[in-house]
Amino acid sequence: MASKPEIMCEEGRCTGCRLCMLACSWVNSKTHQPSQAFVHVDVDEKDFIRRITIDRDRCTGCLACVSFCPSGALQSEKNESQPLKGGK
Amino acid sequence: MTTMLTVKLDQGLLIREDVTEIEREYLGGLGVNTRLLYDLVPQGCDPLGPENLLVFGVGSLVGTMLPTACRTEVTAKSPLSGRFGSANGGGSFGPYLRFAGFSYLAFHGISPSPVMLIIEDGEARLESAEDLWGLDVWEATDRIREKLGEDVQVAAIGPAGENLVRYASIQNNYFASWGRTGMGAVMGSKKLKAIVVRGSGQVDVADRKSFLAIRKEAFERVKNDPSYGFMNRYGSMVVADPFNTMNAVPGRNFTIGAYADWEETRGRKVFEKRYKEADVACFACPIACAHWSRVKEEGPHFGLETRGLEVTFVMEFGAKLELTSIPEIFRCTDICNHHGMDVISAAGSVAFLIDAFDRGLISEEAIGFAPRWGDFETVSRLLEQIARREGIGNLLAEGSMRAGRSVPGAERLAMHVKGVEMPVKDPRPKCDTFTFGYLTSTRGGDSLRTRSPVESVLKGMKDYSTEPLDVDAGYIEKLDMPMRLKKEIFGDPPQGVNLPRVACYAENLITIINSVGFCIRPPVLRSLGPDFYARAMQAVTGRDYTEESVYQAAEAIWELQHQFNLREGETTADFCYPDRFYEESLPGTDGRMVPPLTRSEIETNVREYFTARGWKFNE
Repeated sequence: MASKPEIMCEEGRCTGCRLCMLACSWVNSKTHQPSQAFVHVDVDEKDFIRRITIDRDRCTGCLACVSFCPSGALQSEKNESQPLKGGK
Repeated sequence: MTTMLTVKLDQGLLIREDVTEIEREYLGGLGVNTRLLYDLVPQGCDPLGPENLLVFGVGSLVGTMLPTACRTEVTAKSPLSGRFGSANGGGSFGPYLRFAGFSYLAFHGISPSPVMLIIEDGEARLESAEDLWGLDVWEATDRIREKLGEDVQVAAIGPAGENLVRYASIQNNYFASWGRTGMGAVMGSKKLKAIVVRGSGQVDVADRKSFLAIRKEAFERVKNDPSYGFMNRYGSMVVADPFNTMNAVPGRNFTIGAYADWEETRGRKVFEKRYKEADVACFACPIACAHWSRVKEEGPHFGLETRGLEVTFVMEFGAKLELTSIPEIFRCTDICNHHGMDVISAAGSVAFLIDAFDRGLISEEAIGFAPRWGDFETVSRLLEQIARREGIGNLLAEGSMRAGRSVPGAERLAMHVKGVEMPVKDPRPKCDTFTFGYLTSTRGGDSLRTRSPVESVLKGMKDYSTEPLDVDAGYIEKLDMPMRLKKEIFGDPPQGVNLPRVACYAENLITIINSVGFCIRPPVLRSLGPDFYARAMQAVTGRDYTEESVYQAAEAIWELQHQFNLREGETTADFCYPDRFYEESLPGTDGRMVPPLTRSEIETNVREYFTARGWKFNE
């Protein structure tokens, strides 16, 4: 079995947009449900401290989160990801 | 099903209602709020009384991964203007309200004692907020999160809302605001301290395949717009220096149009170099136009961290009130965030007072001290007094129009349209779509409902009713705008921009944007139009929409807002700037003097705008 690609988090670059969570939940459940995403962004808004956690056991390695991240806070050793699929 | 929670505060009743059909016709967010307000608020009611309605409407595309789809509109009869009131906010409140199962919240009546509404995944309850009443927004939000968890979204009022300051805001968590037209005062009048939301559910899409193609298209169009990079780098501060260059900042209550030291003291590069630390985004936004900032230099504000700087803050505190230090501007903005107060109307009311004092129309004795332009102590002290209605703050909490009427000889110093203080830019150097919007906006003196998708910031007008065309014919061809309107607005072939008609189009476009819950920042405003929104709504909701049907819905929404205002006594004469703009020249740097506006030219534009709207212009 091929190993999952490593996702690197640079929290200082995270803008707190949570597009990664939306993308992850879409890939996994074909809906928008960030609470069920395998990547999670917590933002302490008062001090703008950001924490990114990835559930490595459940993460499928699809890299949708990386491709959606507009700031480069999430990066992969591979620079490619699968396109999102949404067919019924 | 689209669900609204109706809350009858006087009886403590919570009722779940299906508003799918209203949303189908009125698009969502602002559109649905408008229909509800028109139907349910009786003519002549007291905006701070039990008959007023306060509606939160989440945009119909919010909660999806479409770029910037996060915004929520709050609507009520305005206690500042006595007319249609509405404010739009970003942050994360709207998406999580939808994840909790609700798209609209409608508050009726007045609670007998302070309460907060708590919504957790489809379940809603009212709880006492006696212990929160009197706390500022940050204290209340902290207290709520200590009790209910750090992950809840909070929409709260501060002392300004509780004390019925006519331009009180509602804040989402700490920095996001529903700022204009006094929605926080309406919330305060209802004794509703906060709305707390926890949502872990989902927002579905009807046609996934089309949706994915539309999502990809939207991101590409937004990211490829030439304004994208500037917007990420400077945010709204991108226009701060150009406005000073063109002599259009609202200095000293709109009596000075430019400052020689502007760029080195409070310009966009100083902000970027000295204070900006990181980019901050609202939910689902790839642009990240906000910036985390920190004061690193020694002094009384050393170590201050905040989200800023916005052009509104720098124009209101840095020009209108002449504070030259960015840390002082940060601090004044923070005072407004903590107390829950609209920055523009608060600064406008303070500017009115200093202006009236300078002209000997109000005494030091009446104020309690001698207020000065550019003095942090003056501004911060007056902001605190307004929020608590202490001393002279009680007068200023009424807004500049009412304050002007109660100080003999000072009425002409109140810089408002229809009771709402005008923001950030003086129309005299260039009466373009931005500033013409102060006259035509259904919420009074404001620019944010009338921003042109082909706005040219620096080029002067061709004549009083024609803006220069700052894009080529190819750009116009690709512009997402109904073909029939392109010819009407730009000419065939495109030669210029018809100001009254592009204003009308801009208002309709922004009505769509505020109904679906996207942002009006330039990368979105310029690249996405009615055709895109029709396709996106069709994919997400499964309802049939076309470019034309969406555009007509926007026209109908605007018309209802106008009808609401007519019902409250608005007349054609109200579409008018303060006399000073027609009678006084505007000095700038190097002895420059911008002449006053010509009444007949402005009136001709207003008449043309009325024609475009299909309205009658009464003599």
